[in-house]
Amino acid sequence: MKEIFFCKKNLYFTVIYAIISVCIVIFISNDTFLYKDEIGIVTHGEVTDKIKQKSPNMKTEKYYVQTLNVKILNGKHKGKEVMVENCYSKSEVKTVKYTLGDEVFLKVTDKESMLSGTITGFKRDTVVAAILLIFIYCLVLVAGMRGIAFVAASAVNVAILYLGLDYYAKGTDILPLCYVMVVLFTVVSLVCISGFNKSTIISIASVLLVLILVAVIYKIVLSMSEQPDYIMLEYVSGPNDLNKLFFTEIIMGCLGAVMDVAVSVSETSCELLKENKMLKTADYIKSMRVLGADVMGTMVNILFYAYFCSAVPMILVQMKNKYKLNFIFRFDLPFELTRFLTGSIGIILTIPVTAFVSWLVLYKILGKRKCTE
Amino acid sequence: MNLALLLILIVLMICIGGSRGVISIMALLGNVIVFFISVYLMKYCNLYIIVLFDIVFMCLLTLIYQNGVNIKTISSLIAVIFVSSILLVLSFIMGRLGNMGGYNEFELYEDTLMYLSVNIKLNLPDVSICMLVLGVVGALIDIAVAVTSSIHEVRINNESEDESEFIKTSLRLGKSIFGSTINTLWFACIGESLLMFLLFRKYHYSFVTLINSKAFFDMAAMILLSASGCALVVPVAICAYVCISRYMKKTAE
Repeated sequence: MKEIFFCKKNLYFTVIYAIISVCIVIFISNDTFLYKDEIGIVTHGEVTDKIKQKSPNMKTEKYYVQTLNVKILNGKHKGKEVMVENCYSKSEVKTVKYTLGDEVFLKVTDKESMLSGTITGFKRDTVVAAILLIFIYCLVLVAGMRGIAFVAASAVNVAILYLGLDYYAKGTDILPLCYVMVVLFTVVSLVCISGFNKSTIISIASVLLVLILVAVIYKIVLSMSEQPDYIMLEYVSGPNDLNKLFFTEIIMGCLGAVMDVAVSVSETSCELLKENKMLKTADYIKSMRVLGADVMGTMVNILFYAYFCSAVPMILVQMKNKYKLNFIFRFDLPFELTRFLTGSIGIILTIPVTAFVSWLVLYKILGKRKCTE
Repeated sequence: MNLALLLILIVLMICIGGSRGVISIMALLGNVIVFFISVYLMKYCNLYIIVLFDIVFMCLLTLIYQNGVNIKTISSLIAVIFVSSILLVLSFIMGRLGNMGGYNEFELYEDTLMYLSVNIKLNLPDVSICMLVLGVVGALIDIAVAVTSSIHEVRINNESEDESEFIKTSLRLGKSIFGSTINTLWFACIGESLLMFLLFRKYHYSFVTLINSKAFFDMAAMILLSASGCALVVPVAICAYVCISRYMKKTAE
């Protein structure tokens, strides 16, 4: 216990990091002077009225009207207070409940020296910074330099994604962009996770191979069945290449899971062959099968929960609106389901493919070279 | 289309995993059933109770059913439940501070959702917070099992090693495990929200608007908090393992 959490190095790191992050958070929560829009802080709020509205299952839903005193923090009305009325429902689907100390964006109108305002948004930058700081702290505390490398890899990946979308917005076709991005993502993430060595090269090769296989399987299945209704996708903004975009989504969703499995399989096989140089191919296949069975159960579950949990809020809203479950399955969940299934197929395919690639590299190519040397 | 993909998946799982593959399919099926039952029950019960129950059930299914009762699975079980409760508290605080959940600015104007009544008598921010935690539990279990089984191997192979050495070795092993699992979640998230990123571009979000927007916050909170949980579960699992092995030694004496 002591060795894990309270060793001196970690303690110093925690103290210094905590001081720095408190400073950062305090700075960001007071950075209103950087904003052009007017920002206010809720100094007083009370519920002044209650309304009831009918909900779809014939029960009533409570709505509350809040009267808020908002103190303006920047701009020409700095220091003044405005009264804002806000209505929120108990389920807070479209409406928001404001509490003391919330910082909000305001639209202030100045009419005959009477200030009135409406809330246009919520100021979230402080919380985003706090979560980011927690994330970096956890990674560095647990993994040290590797954690820093991982954070760097994530940053590079975000940059790659940003550049890719930039090119797309300027009119480049998404498919070639997708291929380039996938290769870059794979190389950057794998090199940052496990360094530059034999097993990394094996993993990169097998990840790309598996993605090609998944793409081929998806295309074949797609061509044999009826076209899905891409308009039902979430966040459609109207471009007419939705099938290509969805294909990109699928490949990228696969990528992470495939990388995860590829890394563990290739590391294990390198380890196996290092320890036991005379390992027979049949024994090698056997131990790879055991490893594969270990890995696939949990990985498939991870993907299932990662994809379906984010769909739950919308499922619930629809169920409350008395939509039947099979209707939701037919029209809203098929895309989640396709993502999950292609991801899982990728995971399962990775096991034999990576095992084969490592066998090829370690036995055939490197093995022969050793003989000739 | 999904049916064909499902068939391919099942065939592949059985071909490659053999009998263990069949067990994995059964466990997945169990998870799917529990998931949908609990979504159904959310209409009636307290959300947080359902989610805690779900987490425990998932752990039992994945750990005990698939891997049996031993020191590895018990310490993973404790670690996963502990970390997910911390994560639940953390995401509750952060979610409330940042106003997470509910429709984001794009969903407000989406055709398919426009005609739905929003008087659902269920607090949607709470649902989002619970789903954040539930979405990461699968990853937590995976990491915890990987950590405890690899340090168990170390323990068996050299029993004479003293405890502080053992903990150092375990931490070194643990470091290399969680990184790639975070990647799984991270790319799953990119795959899901690629179209949303395009919307950010389409509406010319500036950096300031982006970090203050609800859509971005919901996604960033999900991915960053899940990743923090994945990192934290490593030392906690080692802790749990060490404590249990100490306790077992004591009772043996």
